Amino acid sequence: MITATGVMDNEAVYRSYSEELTRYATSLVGPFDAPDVVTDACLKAFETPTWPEVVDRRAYLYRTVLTVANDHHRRTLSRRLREMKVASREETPDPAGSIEVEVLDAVARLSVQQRAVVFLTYWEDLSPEAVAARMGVSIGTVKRHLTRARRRLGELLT
Amino acid sequence: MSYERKMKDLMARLVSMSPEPPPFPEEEAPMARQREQRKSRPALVFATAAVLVVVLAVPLLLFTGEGEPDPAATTSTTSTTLTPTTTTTEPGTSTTEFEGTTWTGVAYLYQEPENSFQSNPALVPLQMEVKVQSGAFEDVQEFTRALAALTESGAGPPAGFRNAIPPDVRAESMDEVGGQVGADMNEAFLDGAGGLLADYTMLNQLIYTLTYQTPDAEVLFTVNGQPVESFGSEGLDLTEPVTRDSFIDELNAIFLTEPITAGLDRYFVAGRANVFEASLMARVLDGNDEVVYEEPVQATCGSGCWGDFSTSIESELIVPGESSIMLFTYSAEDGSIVEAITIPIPEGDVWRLTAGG
Repeated sequence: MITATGVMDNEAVYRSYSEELTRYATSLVGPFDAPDVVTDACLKAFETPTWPEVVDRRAYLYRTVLTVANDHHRRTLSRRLREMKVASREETPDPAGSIEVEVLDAVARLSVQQRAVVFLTYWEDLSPEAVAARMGVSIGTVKRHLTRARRRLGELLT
Repeated sequence: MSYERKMKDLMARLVSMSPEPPPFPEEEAPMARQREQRKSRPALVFATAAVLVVVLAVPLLLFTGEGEPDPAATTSTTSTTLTPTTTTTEPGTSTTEFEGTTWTGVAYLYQEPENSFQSNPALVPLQMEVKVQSGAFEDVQEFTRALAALTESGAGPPAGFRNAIPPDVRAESMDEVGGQVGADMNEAFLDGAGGLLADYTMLNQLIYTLTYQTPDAEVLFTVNGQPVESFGSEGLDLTEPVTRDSFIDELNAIFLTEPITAGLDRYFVAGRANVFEASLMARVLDGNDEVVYEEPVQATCGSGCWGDFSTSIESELIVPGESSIMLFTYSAEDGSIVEAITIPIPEGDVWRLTAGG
């Protein structure tokens, strides 16, 4: 819904970005906890007093998702993987129906920031400048995260 | 396949696992709700008694219950003892849902420095959040009983942090009047920690923890309400109040006075140093102990006098749970790294511990 002032209300904003934010959160914390992260991030953004004045709401939501993921779920992916491996023959939550453990294993090697940079670079096809703008960090930081991510994933990708 | 193609393929496979977006959040967020549930009881108790927490609970973070701890006990007790020495288990690994009470505070432990000329201990204050899973404590004594469970269950600060205060030492009561903290201890306090350096370390831990909120305050130790004329192995006279400076020369040439804390986009580090030309270094180490950042830090005094130092480091350089901040100075003789202490940055920037789990 567009208000009289031309500003989308929160529900409209949410409808516009929830899918891509969920994909982004999946890259940060895995599929199990992505919905919670998106929900928390959106509420956090909506409750921010300056939210109505935010110009680039998409970038703002991306940064909030990253913050929430970093705060609460940095180790969760690794833990979930361990639990999955232990209970491999039992019923395991599989929200997408196609969990690839080896992919999550690879991603779990990265810090949350590195996951964010890799996702935005190789899935969203953003330039380092655009990734930096989306994350609110310097271009140098983006390049550093990419270099380290490459190093950590090195043997998997050669 | 090129590296770039492999990365794209990895991301595509990852994104293919993405679940359906959650519904529009009209209710309280799931994680926020969990946090509030966790905080509800202690928030009532401790937020309204901040001064009490400062004067009593903070120093008592070092204390533990006597004998077999029972965090679920509801009766108050004055039988509190101080924790044993090193704990080793990495905190923050509990995965169970928490339904108890949380205590938050700062306690000064110590760390053995590397390549130290005098091998004096370095104080390291840690911001802690201790969760008591089974039952709640109604006062600081109950908390200390819970902390006993914590230490005995092996969950605590990481290896390298130590506590010089013997387990049979108790604090009977504490107060703060006119800039002076009074700590009435039990008789076991008089025996000290089993050696002169350990005695000084024990005193420094207690003094710094007691004066965390009031660093200029004096501390007067008593036993059964009487002045302490002879303390520890060397019979130190503690009849006069002591301060943070009283035994500072028994500490490492570099130590921390504040917990390393995270601001909006920077980590803040503050302490005291007595190093050559008042010059020390701060490094950020990653999870593999590789140096990712280094900067010089200047203290306000050096080469024979103690000075304050502080610095801040960009948060982007630090991954909580993996990174460490190392403080050291270069030897004036051969340029080697000396007086080094290394403080891990915990997840969430707080040592989250679970007692009685």
